Amino acid sequence: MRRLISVVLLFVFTASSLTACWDVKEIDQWAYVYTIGVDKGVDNVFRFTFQIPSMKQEEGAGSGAEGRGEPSVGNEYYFISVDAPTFYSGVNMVESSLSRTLSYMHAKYLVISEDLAREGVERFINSMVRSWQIRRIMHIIIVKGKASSFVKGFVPKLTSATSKAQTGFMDIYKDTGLFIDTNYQRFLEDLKTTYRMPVATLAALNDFSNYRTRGNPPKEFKSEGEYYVGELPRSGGNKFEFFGTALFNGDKMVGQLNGDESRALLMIRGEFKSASISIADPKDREYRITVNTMMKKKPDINVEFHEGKPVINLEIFLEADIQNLQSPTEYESIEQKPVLEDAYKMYIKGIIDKTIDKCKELNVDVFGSGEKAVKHFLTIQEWEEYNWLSRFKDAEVNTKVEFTIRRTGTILKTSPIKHRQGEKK
Amino acid sequence: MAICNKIFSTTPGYITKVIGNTGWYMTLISCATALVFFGFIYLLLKRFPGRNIIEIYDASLGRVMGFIFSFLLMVSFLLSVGIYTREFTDILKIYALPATPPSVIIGTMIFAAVVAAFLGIETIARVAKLAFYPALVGYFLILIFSLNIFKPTNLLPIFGYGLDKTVITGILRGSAYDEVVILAVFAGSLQGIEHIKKAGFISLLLSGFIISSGLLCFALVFEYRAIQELTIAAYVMTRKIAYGTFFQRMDPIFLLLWIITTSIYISILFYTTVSIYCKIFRLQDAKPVVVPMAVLAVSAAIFPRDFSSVLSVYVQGLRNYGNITFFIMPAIALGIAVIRNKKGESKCAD
Repeated sequence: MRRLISVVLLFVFTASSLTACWDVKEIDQWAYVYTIGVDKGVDNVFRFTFQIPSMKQEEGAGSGAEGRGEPSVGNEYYFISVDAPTFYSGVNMVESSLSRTLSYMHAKYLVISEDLAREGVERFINSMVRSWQIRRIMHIIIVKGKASSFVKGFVPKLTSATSKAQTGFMDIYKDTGLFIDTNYQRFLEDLKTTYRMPVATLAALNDFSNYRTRGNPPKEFKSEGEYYVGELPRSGGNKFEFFGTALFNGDKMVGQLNGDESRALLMIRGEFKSASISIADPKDREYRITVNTMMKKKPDINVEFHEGKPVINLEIFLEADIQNLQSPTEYESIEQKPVLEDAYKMYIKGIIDKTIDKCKELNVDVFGSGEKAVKHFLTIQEWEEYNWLSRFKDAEVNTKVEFTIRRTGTILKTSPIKHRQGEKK
Repeated sequence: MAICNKIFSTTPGYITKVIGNTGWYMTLISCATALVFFGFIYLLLKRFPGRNIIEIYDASLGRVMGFIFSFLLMVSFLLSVGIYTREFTDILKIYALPATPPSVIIGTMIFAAVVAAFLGIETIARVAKLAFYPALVGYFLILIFSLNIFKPTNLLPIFGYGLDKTVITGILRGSAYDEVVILAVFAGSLQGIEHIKKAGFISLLLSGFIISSGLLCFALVFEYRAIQELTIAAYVMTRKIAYGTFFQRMDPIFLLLWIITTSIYISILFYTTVSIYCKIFRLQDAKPVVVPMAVLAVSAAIFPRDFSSVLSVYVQGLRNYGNITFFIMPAIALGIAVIRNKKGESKCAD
């Protein structure tokens, strides 16, 4: 009898566990948010915009090339904006018009308008993360103009998998260095840490108005990184672009870096991967040279204190492969290579110094030099009392760049081009 | 496993609030403190060979005081079952099962503990051993996968909120290792005093290493102000692991490890509670005690008003005052036994 009761109880408990838990929801009960936009609200404190992929199947799904169950072009996403006092009340308000529960566990971008970022992000950045659904690897992006417009314009070309593309867009910084990538956790930590100030990716919709169809190129050298976001002279492709870096003092955006300065920031932080950096030919400034630059090793940052004033000694180690030589000067040769290396050293040092000066002017240590300065303090009380973040503007920063050209690409020697008149000099 | 499970709890955030980024060596001080107190327990057990701590309390302190000491020990274990079950329940609701009623999670955990108690210590020990190796591998995998997000400068300033605070907190929180006293409860069933000594010291040293390495990794990943905000640092760290687009979102591994180890941990504590009760009242059969004890454990679990009070009142209360019942009372018993010249052999002679 006891055995029978045991067996019955076993079946009852097993069966009850097979009914799934209270929290279970089928995939078609969720509406997955890819991108969350936050603007200053009009009818309430914030305006939240959600980009939700359509899960609706087209008519005739499953038959023929047009019937593969995919939404037609232009209808891949729904965009819903709502004015709400907080993020979660906004979610509830949006759900009142949906048959599904919003899930933001797969959201990869948190897009914040520049206006709101300049006023401060504390009020929502702290609270959103209380939900287990918010992943701290979500990227933080500050956009020029309205976040809602950016989210609605964020329909990537060249791919059908937006979620994957979102990661891809952010990974591009490893190839270009023209913007910095930051995620929720890092941004949140930097908002509160005593070592450094936060930064975020800058993005904008480009209306292609800077793409001129007439005129002559400038005589003076203009680098690829001198532009600010939304102003790149390009046409076609995605309307949105990621370029430059937003600088924060606490929770308020106080400035921005262009592409070149973002590269300098990445180099100082030791996060620079590679980039094609162009300069004017040191021997003939009409020509342009490009090298693929990489970090040789992490930068050497040493912080000392002279009579209470911080002195930061910074050394950056770079190496490069030649990608483009326009002039006939044989920079590949052992005699000419140092000329090119010196030119790059000076050019990169100039950008780094300019970036540091800009940040000192804004009094934002986004380089993380506080992480090195802290070794001079034994306790947190001493460190917090010194208040490194307020002292950065007084710091004397000495920079040094080591630059070595390693390889010359598939060409060992640039032979001069022959004309009827002979070689061009 | 009973000691190390705390690394998955709210403890890392709390201790960072008190001492800063020095938790990784503070816990070694706690471990050293626990080793000293376990040394007293060992001497006590050595003085009364073949007896468990309940019998020793009776022999050393007399029937009345022995009863009080033993009963307080049992109450401490019972409260531990209830409070840790509640802490686990609330955290599980926050991170994984927000819609599931707490009573279901508490009920499931206690039900598992009841089944384990019916099956006995040998079954619990075998299951714990079986789960220990994969849990340890999983735990260290999580730590290793976090290598790319380590920031060594997070360990600075090296003395955190002050060396004095770290040392004092370390000594006070020796109770983090108090589960080692379980060996004394089951001393009569183990294979002699030397075996208990070996098991106790090895488990304390191993736990010290595991907890310290975990706290070190948390400190390397999260800056000291950030970790104070986190409910469970281990879970957030797991969710931060990302190698490319494929190898990320490792939190299911964490959840699996955490739920299995916590279930075994609660079962061990619950069985110990039942066992102490039976030893106090000299009951031969523990089975009739199991279900009533489970009711008390559930009551203890549902008693706290909210998660904040669980953390700041009950969990920290157990940490701060656990030393008294788990470590200081055996030391007192040892002292009195020495003063009164009580020994196991002399009792047999009487």
